[in-house]
Amino acid sequence: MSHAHSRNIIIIVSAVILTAVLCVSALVFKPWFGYFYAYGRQISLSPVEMIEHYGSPDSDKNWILGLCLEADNGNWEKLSEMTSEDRKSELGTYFYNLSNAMMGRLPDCLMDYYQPFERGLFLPVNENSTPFIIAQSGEVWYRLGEMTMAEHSAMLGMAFSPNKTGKKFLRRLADINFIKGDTSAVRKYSNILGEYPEWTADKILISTYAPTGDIIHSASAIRPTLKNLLRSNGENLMAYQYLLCFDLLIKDLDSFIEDYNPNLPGSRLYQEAALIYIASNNAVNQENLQKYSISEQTFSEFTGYTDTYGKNGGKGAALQEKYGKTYWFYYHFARRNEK
Amino acid sequence: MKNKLFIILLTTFLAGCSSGNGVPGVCPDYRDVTVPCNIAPLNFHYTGTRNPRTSFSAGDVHFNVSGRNVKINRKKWERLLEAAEGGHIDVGSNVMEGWRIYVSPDSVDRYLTYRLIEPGYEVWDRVEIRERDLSSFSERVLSSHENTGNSCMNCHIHKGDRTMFYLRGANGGAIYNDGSNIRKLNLKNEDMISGTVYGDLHPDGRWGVFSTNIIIPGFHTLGSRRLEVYDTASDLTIADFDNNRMINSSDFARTDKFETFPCFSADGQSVYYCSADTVSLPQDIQNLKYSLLRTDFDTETGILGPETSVIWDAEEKNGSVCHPKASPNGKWLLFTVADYGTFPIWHRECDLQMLDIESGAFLTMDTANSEVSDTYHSWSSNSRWFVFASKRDDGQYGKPFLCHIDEDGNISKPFVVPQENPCHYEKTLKSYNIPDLGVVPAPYDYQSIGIIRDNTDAEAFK
Repeated sequence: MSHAHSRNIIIIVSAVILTAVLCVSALVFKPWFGYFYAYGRQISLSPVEMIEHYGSPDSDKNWILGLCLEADNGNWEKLSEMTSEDRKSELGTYFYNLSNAMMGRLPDCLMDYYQPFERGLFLPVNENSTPFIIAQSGEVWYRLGEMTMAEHSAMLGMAFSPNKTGKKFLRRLADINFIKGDTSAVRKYSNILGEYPEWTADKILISTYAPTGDIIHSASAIRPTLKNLLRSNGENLMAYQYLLCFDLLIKDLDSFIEDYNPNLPGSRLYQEAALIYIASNNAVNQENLQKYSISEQTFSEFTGYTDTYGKNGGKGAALQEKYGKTYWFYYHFARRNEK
Repeated sequence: MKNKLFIILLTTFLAGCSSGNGVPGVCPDYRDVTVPCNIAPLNFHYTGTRNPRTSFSAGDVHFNVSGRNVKINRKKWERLLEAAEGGHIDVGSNVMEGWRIYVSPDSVDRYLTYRLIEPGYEVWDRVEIRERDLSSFSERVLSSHENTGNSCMNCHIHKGDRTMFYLRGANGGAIYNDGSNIRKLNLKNEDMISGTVYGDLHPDGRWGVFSTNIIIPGFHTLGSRRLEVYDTASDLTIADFDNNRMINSSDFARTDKFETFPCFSADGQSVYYCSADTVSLPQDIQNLKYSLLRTDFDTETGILGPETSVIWDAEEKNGSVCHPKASPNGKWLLFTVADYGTFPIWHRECDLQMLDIESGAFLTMDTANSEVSDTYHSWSSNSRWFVFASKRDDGQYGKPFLCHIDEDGNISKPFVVPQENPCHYEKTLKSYNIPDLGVVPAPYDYQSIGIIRDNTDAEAFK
């Protein structure tokens, strides 16, 4: 056998082995799931560690982790696009609601999507929460300007993450303290990161939301915290929308009426909720219709809804097609899934 | 306008920190500190400069270290300490003014225990209690999440050759080393509102004094205090380790008072503790102010009282006391004062205060205190050193500082416990929680604690 021939065989065998290795690597690591590995880099996990902790990548994991990353980066249009398909996922709803809130349309879009009660607005942080959920729970608080809760979430997210560190958490902790003006804490996290926060439009806006009054509350006291944000800055429209949507998703109409402010931008959602309240209190009159900015069309559709409801003995099926995306339908038929 | 100015100032400040060039400094700041004669090398690093050279000299011992990271050879350091004992080390630098390190002939207790935990929140993951040999950089794990089912553990304390800490959760208990045996105790009976929490061991070994607390965490929305932890009820109790019984007294379990943070006096004849009128919580938290009290302790019966006196009146001083600790020589009482409340970790105003027990005078502690929380202190057995946790430098992470006090009550500039890696404290994301000094090493490690947890039933107390 000639020397050249042997060399060709070696080259072919090497190429086959290399191809096989690349194929196997691709099958194991599935590099097309870019968000999966990008998220790993944010929490200081190598691809192998990501698979070890999160299992093999698939499209659902890639989607969820993509939502987290796009929200982290404040890409609200992209987040909105990624949540356009309703996958009936609590985390998906959380980011869907957040992207809408950031674009000022939370109440207008709320009923168009799966809403697992308040868990679609605020992710629970308690002994039953997974580390992953805890790690995402601060995003909405950060955007609302509630730095204590945002910091709590980032700190716990980091404490419970596999390697107990990561750019995702350190950057957020640096940003939170930067907004609060705690320079020594900023220096701590920035020195580890090797980068320093800068004032951007979103940070400047968030800094204007900072609470000016102090209350002490538990991690689950959502409503008092939102009300405190609003007391501090009445122009924090996002806090206002989250507050009213929170009231409505837990079906607490008394609180909704208490929190409603006719001087702030309204929504069809608020009209629908107010109609239930005034109708159930026998207070449908011109003054209330005006107070809650209830349009003739909304009132007329409400009449249609109640007629259909009455005629069909309160069965949802007859109402779903026409009214499935109204608050009336949610109020009557949404049931809490404790699982 | 004010906001814009703040933004410019903050950006300027941070830009200054990020540069390798600028005003040279050293970190940790070991300039002009007083150290014990048995401390590990004070490794540090320079900031804001390149290519520094550092010289160390005392008596006829001299050596140089080149580079930003100043890691000192341990044998050379020990020779330097020996040459400087009772005097000082001259430190020279080619990039900044030199400084001194004063070497006290008073040694510090060799062993320091602490819990490593993420700062100040109500949950935990992978917690450890460790013991550091202060004369070197060696550190060992006394109790680990790996051997305890990821349970919480806390409050490792020493008294002579005795130690105690809590393992919480299933199969938990108070792990009590009585000097010859390691016991697992269930320090609770039906008359107590909770298991024991904060406490101290009596000098003669038979007794322990503890608080029982219903503890509630809450979040501040404003400022940098972040977390406020308060009690909705708290009482005092005595543990009789010889007879496995708890001694409760209605005088120290009043429903109109909170009683907490007890400790024995050096002679064991008294108990210092904190007490406050109950208020409506959390809304009236700013009115929750604890006074410092002293009461008698009967070493024969284990009964507290009847004589009780106020040492530090919260109403008069308009503050709130916690963590009193009596020095072993009976001369000093070290405690923490905050504006209000019972959990000072996030109270930036929280400072150490020292009482001269005999004269009743309060010492000036400005040298020791900082602009952030300084608390959770413990005494060295010779009463010349105390360790405390301070969030200085980054405002977030508690670090153990050692501080010297001379016979006349003069306080020296404290220094952070040195680490082999000069950048350790800047990189770590753990707090050093409840640092406590001990003369001898604890007679257990994480493996033996795991075995005790799994295989030993907690002794019942009645």
